[in-house]
Amino acid sequence: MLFDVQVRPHGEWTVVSVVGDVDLASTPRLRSTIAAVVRSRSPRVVLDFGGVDFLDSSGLGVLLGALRRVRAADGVLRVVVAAPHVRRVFELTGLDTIFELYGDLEAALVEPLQAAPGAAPGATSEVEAGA
Amino acid sequence: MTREIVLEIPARADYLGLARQVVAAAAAIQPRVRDERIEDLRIAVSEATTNAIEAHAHLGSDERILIRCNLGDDRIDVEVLDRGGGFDPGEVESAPAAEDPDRLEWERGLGLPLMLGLADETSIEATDGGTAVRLTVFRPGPAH
Repeated sequence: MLFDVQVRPHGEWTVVSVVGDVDLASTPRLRSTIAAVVRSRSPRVVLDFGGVDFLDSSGLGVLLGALRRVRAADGVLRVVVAAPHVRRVFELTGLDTIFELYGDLEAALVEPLQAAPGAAPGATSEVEAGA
Repeated sequence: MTREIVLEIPARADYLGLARQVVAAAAAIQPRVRDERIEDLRIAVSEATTNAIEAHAHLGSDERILIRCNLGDDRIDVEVLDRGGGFDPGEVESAPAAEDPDRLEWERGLGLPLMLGLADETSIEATDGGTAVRLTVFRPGPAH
């Protein structure tokens, strides 16, 4: 599938929708798009990879850079991953524990913000109190 | 019986998709290869080919990358051969653990763990002026 990336505001969020294959050929455009979003808009970003059929380590590298930029701006980054083999790439590299991953865009947009930016979903005060 | 498919591509990122398609289509010819294993191979081949392309880019070389796919009775072997100057996996620094705050500073170094995790066997060898990466996925035996 041909790679494409679109940016649109959605309430307090900016949604970056990506379709196609995310690899060494497409990551330069993805990286510059995300950098521009974090610079010029609210750093509350949902990266919608629901239309991504292929993701390799080049794409993961861009996502790590995006998370670094967003956190530096006190923002939040959520990532929508639909295809099981795309999610598996996160799991095999352990990055599923770093990123807030969602199964669809709606879930990513409705989940309330955590008290601490970048906190993993489900990290509640009860967990902290019990630690 | 072994059947070999050979693909030669320019060392450019826009040929990555073609390499993935050819290897996935070749693997799909074989019976008893689950779709998940074809996806594993597709990602692992993309990682190996990406490394090869980056090795050539570093040298400014216009050499080509050779991808050999061997379809055996009980295994699929894919070899990715480049002449990009060699790569020593022992010299690759490991990225910090996922929970380490410094993990975000490391955008690279994810390709090797992915190949190791996705293929049943992964070997990386220095060749004459380049690197040979061999990725193997085993096929289950026929049902009795």
